[in-house]
Amino acid sequence: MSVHCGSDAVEQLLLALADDEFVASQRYAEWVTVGPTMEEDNVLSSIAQDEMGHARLWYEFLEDDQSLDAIGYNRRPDERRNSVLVETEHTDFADTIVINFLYDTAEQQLLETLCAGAHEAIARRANTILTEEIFHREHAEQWLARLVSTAEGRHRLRNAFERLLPRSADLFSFEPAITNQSAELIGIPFDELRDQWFKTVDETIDSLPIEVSDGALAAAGSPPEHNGRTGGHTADLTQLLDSIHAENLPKDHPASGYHA
Amino acid sequence: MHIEENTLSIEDRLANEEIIELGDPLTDEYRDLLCGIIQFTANSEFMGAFTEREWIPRAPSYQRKLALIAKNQDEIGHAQMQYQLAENLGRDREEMLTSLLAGNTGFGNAFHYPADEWIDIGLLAWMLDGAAMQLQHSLMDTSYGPYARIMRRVCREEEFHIRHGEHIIREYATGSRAKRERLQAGVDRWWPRAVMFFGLSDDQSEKSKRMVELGIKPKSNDELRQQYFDTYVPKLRKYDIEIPDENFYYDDAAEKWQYTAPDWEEFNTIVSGNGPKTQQRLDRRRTAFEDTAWVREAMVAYNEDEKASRFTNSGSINTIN
Repeated sequence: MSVHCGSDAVEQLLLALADDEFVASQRYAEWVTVGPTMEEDNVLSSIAQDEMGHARLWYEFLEDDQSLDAIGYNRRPDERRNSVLVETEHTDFADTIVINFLYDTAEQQLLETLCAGAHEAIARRANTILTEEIFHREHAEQWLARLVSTAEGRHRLRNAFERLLPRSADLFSFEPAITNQSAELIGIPFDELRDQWFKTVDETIDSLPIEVSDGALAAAGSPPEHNGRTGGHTADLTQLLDSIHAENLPKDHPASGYHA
Repeated sequence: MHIEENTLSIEDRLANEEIIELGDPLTDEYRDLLCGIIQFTANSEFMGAFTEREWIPRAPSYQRKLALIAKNQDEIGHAQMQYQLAENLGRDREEMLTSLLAGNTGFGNAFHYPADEWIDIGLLAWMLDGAAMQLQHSLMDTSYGPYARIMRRVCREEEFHIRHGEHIIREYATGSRAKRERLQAGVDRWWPRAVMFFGLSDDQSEKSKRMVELGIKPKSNDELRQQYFDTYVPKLRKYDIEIPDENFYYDDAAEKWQYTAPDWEEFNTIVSGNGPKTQQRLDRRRTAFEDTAWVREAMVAYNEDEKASRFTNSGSINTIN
């Protein structure tokens, strides 16, 4: 990828954010027509559509002479830089809401720093995305409040936090090239941003009538077991990317040939 | 003047070319037939999205994936609006959904078949949504005002879906030999289903006749089918696609298209819940419904808590009583 918007580090950061959006969208789209209510089907498919559009916004900004399919569709798992949190398969609605909450809280913070940044073209895009992401976060918060209204809801939500907090540890664990330049890129060190994120997450969980273990919370703030930001993904991402590349497509489709 | 109008029977009001509105007195027959077609079109939107969802992960390019998600989001929205319309007429949402899942209310014949190839998704959007569009377009003139207004919005969005389908068709029609062959094979599969979509001929369908008389269905099954041929035959020819019916031609004397009578036995088997994919899709949806029951229970509990706390917060009500 050639230098196009300042530095390689900027491009690497934006690519990671784009991959987050792309992978998150694909997972949300798995909820189309199987959500708890028709209203929620509508919202989840709308979020999936937003995220796929946001990812395109970044990919197109970065693509230069590559096609959208080459950069967005056909990169292999080890080339992807999304957080392992968003690649996690979520078929329990409690998992969906917890990922929605943890990821969109982080994303909102990252976008806000980009909006305040010096690079105008990036700030403009970040701002466009942010206006929609705010609704995504509200969606998560509304559901957290609703789901704790029954014992089963509290139980499932607690399990979801236990399972997913450790997988959110890589949200701000970018490669050294990016981290070293955080002052120029986003104005503050990523560690500080992570602390802000952790405080919000901790306070939100604290406000809910559920007991999440200290271990799970601590794991969210510790070095990640799998770090998607450096290409260390879980089997979930391989499964997700494999599902994109249907093997019975005619050979001249962009998504064909991935398995070759 | 207004009061006098309301005392007229529905037939008289229709003869005066009046539009029926929410809250007007309805006969049981009118309400039942109206709710029947609304549930059919709502179910079809929903099951259409349900059929296409399998291809969202596998869509063969980024732009196609984005278009397919957008399309499905629209369809869910259309279904939701139409179920709401039936709710306003006294139907219960949960009952409508369970009756769909139990196979007691129908949905478009196309969504009972497999969509194993990407070209099936293209043809569903172009040829089958195109068939549904003839019906939807005619419903913009239905005698029930709220339904007509929703159909105006639905048709506006469906235009985009059909265009998305046509892009796929054009890609195949102008593509490699392998693609052109897959396209023709796809049309061979879907053409008879599109012809059947409109239902039995008018002389065989008492219900359809009655719906036309009550202005619920402004056009008859056969009229819509002929209109579909008028629109799609030139399109198919433009893309060099053969119509897989050797008895198909325009009869100048009769001023209509002649075609091989559809296999109504197959049609009845399919729409009564015995299509190749009917039960598998309904099963999947039933599982989803059961798996998410706890979410709906939490919603109910939350709404009750909210109501209770509103009541306590406005405590004066208690003291007055």
